[in-house]
Amino acid sequence: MRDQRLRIVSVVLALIGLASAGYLTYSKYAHDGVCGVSSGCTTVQQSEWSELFGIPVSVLGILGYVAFLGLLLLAPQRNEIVRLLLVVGTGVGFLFSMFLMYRAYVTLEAFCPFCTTSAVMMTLLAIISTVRFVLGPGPEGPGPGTSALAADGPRGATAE
Amino acid sequence: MLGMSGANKKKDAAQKARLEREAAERAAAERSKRLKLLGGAAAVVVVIIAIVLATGAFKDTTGGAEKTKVNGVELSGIQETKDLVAGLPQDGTILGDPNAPVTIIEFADLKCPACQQYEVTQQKKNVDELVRTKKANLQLRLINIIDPNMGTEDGAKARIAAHNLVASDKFWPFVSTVYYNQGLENDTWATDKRLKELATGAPGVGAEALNTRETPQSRQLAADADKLAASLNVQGTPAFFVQPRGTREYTPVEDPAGGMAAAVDAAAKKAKAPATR
Repeated sequence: MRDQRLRIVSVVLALIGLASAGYLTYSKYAHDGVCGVSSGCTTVQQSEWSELFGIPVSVLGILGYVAFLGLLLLAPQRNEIVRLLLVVGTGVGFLFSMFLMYRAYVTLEAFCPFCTTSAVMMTLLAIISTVRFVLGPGPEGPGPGTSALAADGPRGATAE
Repeated sequence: MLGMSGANKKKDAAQKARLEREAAERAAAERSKRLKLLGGAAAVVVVIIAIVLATGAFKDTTGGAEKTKVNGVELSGIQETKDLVAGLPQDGTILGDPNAPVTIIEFADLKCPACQQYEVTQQKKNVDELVRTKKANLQLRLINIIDPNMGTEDGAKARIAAHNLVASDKFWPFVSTVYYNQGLENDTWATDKRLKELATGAPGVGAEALNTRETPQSRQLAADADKLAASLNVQGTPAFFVQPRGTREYTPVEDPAGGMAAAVDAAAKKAKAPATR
């Protein structure tokens, strides 16, 4: 039940992150190439840190959030590989977001609310994915009230 | 019966305790395994980020321009600047045939990163396709739009330096060199020292030509550019207009990257006959 709630929270966070990255991608193509009418987001998006391997980082953000949503909604949630992939994926997203935040706030001295929203979502996703992985998927079975211990009990007894 | 029941209870309690102990051991082993996997995952994450940052695969704002050492200072875009202006007449702020049927007017700021991107990725194409073919000439009007937004003052200094090179027709190579070596818009990078380095590297300019002090000419050029920008309601840079020869008609070019040729063709139809000398 706790795992299910954390998964739902993760889906909501990923959707908010996806919306932020989507808006940044839209604004990059809509307003890229103009100084003077710009916001902090435009300053960030015109900087050298706005593209990685020739791909706008906002597009990489979209790809990341879509991948996380795919893992959260379509992949079997009890699968340890899936949960570990979420930890690694959100971990990479978190560290990369921190690097970009450093560049935005310290190097460029620009405040970009949408970049910041995405970074916060990525941070929360990384924390929740880690917590979910450490706690494990929880008991499989009839539902609330079934403890891991009770679920493990009969199997232990049978083995005896 | 009572003895049997007591023994069963004892046996059940012992079995329960054993099961609980085994479950706790399994849980501890499971947690230990998960923490080890988590440690591995963290290492993978750090390695991935380290590789990405170490490869330096971020955007090259100079568009892959060549780097040249001039008096021990590494400068970008010297060759690209030479290629841009090679063989073209320069008349003050105008590059190309001064009698071309259309003038492309570009409003730009030397500290504006969007202007810089346009300069290094699009300008050569426009010059080759429209200026070299004498369909148009290109006039650069420098305005100061970044300084007021960023709280800096060096953009004004760079503009003065560029305008002081107009009389000697060294404006274009200096401006192009500045763009290829532009610093961050929030930094004060256009210092006397840096502008001197850039003038030294700029093809055909040289450090001795540099003057960063305001002169009547630089003041007039700045005022003219600001006045025209205000009258055309220029809100951001770079901003482009086409002006047919012999007219005061300025048509904005909304898509300078893709629509400049069409805008020039349309403006050419309104051009008046060249003035006879």
